[in-house]
Amino acid sequence: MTIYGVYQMLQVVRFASMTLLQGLMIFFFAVSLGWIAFAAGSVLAGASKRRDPTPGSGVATLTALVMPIYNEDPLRTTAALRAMAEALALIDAHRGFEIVILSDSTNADSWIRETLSTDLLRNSLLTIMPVWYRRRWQNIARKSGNLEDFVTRWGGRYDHMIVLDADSLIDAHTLQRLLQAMQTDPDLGILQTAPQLIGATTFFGRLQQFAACVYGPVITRGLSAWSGDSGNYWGHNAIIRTAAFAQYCGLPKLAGRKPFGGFVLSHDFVEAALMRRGGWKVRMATDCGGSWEESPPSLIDVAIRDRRWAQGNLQHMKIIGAAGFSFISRIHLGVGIMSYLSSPLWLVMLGIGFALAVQSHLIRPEYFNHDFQLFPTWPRFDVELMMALFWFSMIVLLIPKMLGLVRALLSRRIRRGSGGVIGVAASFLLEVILSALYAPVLMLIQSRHVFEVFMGRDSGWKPQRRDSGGTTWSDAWHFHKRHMFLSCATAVIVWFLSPPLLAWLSPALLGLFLSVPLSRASGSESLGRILSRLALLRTPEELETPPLVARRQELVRLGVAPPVDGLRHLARHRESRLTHINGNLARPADPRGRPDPYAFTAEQKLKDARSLDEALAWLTPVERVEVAGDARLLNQLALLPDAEHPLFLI
Amino acid sequence: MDLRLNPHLELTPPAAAFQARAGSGGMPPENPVEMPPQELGYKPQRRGRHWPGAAVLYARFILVS
Repeated sequence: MTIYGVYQMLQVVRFASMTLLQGLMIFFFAVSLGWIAFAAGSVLAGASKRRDPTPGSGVATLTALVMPIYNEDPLRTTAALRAMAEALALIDAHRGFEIVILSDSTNADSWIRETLSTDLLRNSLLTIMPVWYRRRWQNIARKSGNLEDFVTRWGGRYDHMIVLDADSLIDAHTLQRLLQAMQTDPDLGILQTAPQLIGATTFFGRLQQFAACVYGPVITRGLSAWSGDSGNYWGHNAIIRTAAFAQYCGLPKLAGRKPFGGFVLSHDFVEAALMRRGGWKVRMATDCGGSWEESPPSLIDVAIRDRRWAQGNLQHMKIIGAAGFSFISRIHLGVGIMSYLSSPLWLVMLGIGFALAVQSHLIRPEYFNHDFQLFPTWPRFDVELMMALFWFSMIVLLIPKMLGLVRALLSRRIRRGSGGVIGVAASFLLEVILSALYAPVLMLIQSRHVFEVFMGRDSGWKPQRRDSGGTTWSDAWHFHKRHMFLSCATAVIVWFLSPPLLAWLSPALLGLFLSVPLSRASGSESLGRILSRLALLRTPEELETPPLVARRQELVRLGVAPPVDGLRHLARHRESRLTHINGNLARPADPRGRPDPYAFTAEQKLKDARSLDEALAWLTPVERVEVAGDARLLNQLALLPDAEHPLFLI
Repeated sequence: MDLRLNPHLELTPPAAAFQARAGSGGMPPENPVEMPPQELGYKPQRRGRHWPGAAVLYARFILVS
């Protein structure tokens, strides 16, 4: 496909008299077309894939349901874990599973809420499975460091671990199937499921959810077909053989400074490549279903997450050449890198197109290049061939979506759940149009991310927003005003230079021009509800909520929200204080000669304070964590009076 | 953490039950495993080689072509 496209492009401009700009244009066109042709080829390869074999049952093992969390809402995370444990118990498959919550939370109130919610979870699952909780004091290497700490300290206890995200859900049959696959194939190191998106209520969330429902299965099926035993790992909703992971997947600290040096950020692809390097199989289970996650609610949330992912994936440029990686593992890493580099590539292509227009407008063509030339050399730009090439590129681009649509129309479940044939087709059209509008905005956002990473700016680590808080006009304006101005300025300049070029650029410019309202709409729940009522962008899970998802929703609805001000709650509730103290590992001792100054300042502030309000107002976030982690300081805090609890009552 | 530091605290029945179950502070007794950082410039010894099956090779052929 790429060779044909490049050949046609060379016909558009005369190869022999090609200018430097035209040459650059063809180069970037070849890379971009190669990228979309790869996606199309991957999906087509999926058609050849046979169904995953059904595993038999093997010897009994112990499996940890591991959920790393970072300042998340514990009501939601514990509800998900409880729903999964109950589902396992319902089919009598709960034996051999244990829940392990691995917290990296840095906020004292989040931490306190976690321990109190974990205690409730533990009590509710007393007869089903054990629930363990550990909070790290030092967040070394973020999520991968969190898991590594668990494996190195408790990994010997478990044969397998099923890694979950804070918004993950896996149904009991799928959990059982994952476990059986590991038990029956002793060479299997990682088995990754293909999670579907659920629970989206906003406009943009529903858009992503519908796209994942219709296109996701054909994409993952293709990926699984050609990667075989050299599959990939996406960091969650997967089962891992603990001993193999410990032996082969310890991540190195990369030489150099951030953002390319330091700890490996997007650890999952690297762990899959390392596991494969060690001779273990890494496979993708595409047929089992029953695996879900949630999507960011708005365009700005996607952009924030993408900043982190961009840095993580671009960091793989330092890893892709590692010794012993299989060729397919290198392709996975390369695909991740290209996911982000494709945006600046597109931007550069647009820039070259713009420069070509300027060149043709301002520079007179050279009709006689040689001294003895009888006939002039006319500048060549075959518009008809260019149009044919445009439609060819569009077809290549839309192959994955078209195949997804065909699959969706053939699936009775999706047809019924997404408004019938008309509903699926209308949603498909809407998704294609909206994706085309959002694409140039995302292209500029990702190009900026790539630029920032190459400039050496670190992404930091912010927790992902999972609720649908909405996007205000002010947020949208601040985030996208540059995109809007850029589209207006480009449109005006191009109009003067070459009106036909403006027609070519109009789809991209329209998306940028509408970026503020599009971003505002992306976080809108009311728009999401309207679409749902019109049976647009609807997924089968909305019509028939899977029992596991429904149970989690019910538990969240019925659950008692943990206290907002965790420290105040601990100060006034003795049982909660005990639960918190008892439910956490002891604070590690400071290195000799380097005591933690925050513990000292916190203690001094508690001594100086005359009331609880005064103490809580004085404590900084870091000091609050110190108080929450020290039984002595907590008791000191509890002895301080407030309006409701005068001194003589404490 | 040291409960003895607070003489006013009392163990409630569920907390006492939990304390009896747990190794320490919310986690089971440690069972450590070594997880050495991998050397990217050095190829470790593999466990054996698994050649891709015909279906995978066919899928790769489609992908390339």
